[in-house]
Amino acid sequence: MPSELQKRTPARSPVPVKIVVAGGFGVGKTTFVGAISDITPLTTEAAMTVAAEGIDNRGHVSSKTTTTVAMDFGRVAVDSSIVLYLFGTPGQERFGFMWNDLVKGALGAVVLVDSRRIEDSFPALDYFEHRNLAFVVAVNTFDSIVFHSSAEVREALAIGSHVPVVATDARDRESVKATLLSLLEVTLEQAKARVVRA
Amino acid sequence: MAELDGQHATNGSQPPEAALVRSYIMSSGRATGSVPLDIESMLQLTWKGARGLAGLQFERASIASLCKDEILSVAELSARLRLPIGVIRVIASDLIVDGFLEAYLPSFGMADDVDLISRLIEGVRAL
Repeated sequence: MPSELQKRTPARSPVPVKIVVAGGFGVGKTTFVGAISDITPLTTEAAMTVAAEGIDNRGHVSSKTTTTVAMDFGRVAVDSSIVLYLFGTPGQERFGFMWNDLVKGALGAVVLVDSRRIEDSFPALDYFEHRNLAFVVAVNTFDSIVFHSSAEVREALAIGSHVPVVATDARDRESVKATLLSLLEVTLEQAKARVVRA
Repeated sequence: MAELDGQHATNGSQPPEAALVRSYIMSSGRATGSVPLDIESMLQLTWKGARGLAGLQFERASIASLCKDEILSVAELSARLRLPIGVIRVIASDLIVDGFLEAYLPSFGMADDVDLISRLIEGVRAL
């Protein structure tokens, strides 16, 4: 007689895949994740130690040596075995060291850009370029208003022609799917190119 | 779990440092476990785990119970139990070593896996 354990064990072992969604504060990372996730995005916190430095945003001199960073994430069952996890990264530059942990093993990244605050995406772009991780730049069209064209954004960000720049609506499931597909196409091309070279 | 809520307090009523100390006592002061778990690594209770569940205590019991009916990632366990990722990693890794949990790790060399990426594309298109 099959037990509960056997019944719920999938025919194929689950394969977790991670994609990182990065960008500045308030750019729509959690909205983007929530538009496609099977679950309401969850928040997890990683505790970390930071050197006491500077003044916090309430004007107090900071003496804290520990802090927690919140990450929102979602989960999508892609097929009978692949489970896609989408992690929204804390955008602040000073949390960059945490990204190593987050990005390790990621298939690729989506850098969400608010074209009115392009500079907020610089830390993420620098980081992914440095790490040689496949990424796409997705310009979030708030309220369907495109403030700058993809070409203008590409020029402002000084990114190479191999990086797709797409417009996205983080609230819209189809738009988020299209953005993820543009990233997956890039990763597929890169994987094929490496296979040929090898 | 009232004592664990402190680490989520953002109004400054309780110093987060207090919760942090408590968290790392749970993992006996260790920051890394013996099994390398990523935040997206997925965990499931084993037969041995199901049999031994009643004998587990505290956070070991909480983690094992959540993995009984669902296969959950380290990140999901962290979110549901409101414990830092590092703590989940250490305790879950102990449970794996003890044979109570089985882990499904992300596939090594995924970025070069044309077949896996093709399946992903197909799957996302069909969503």
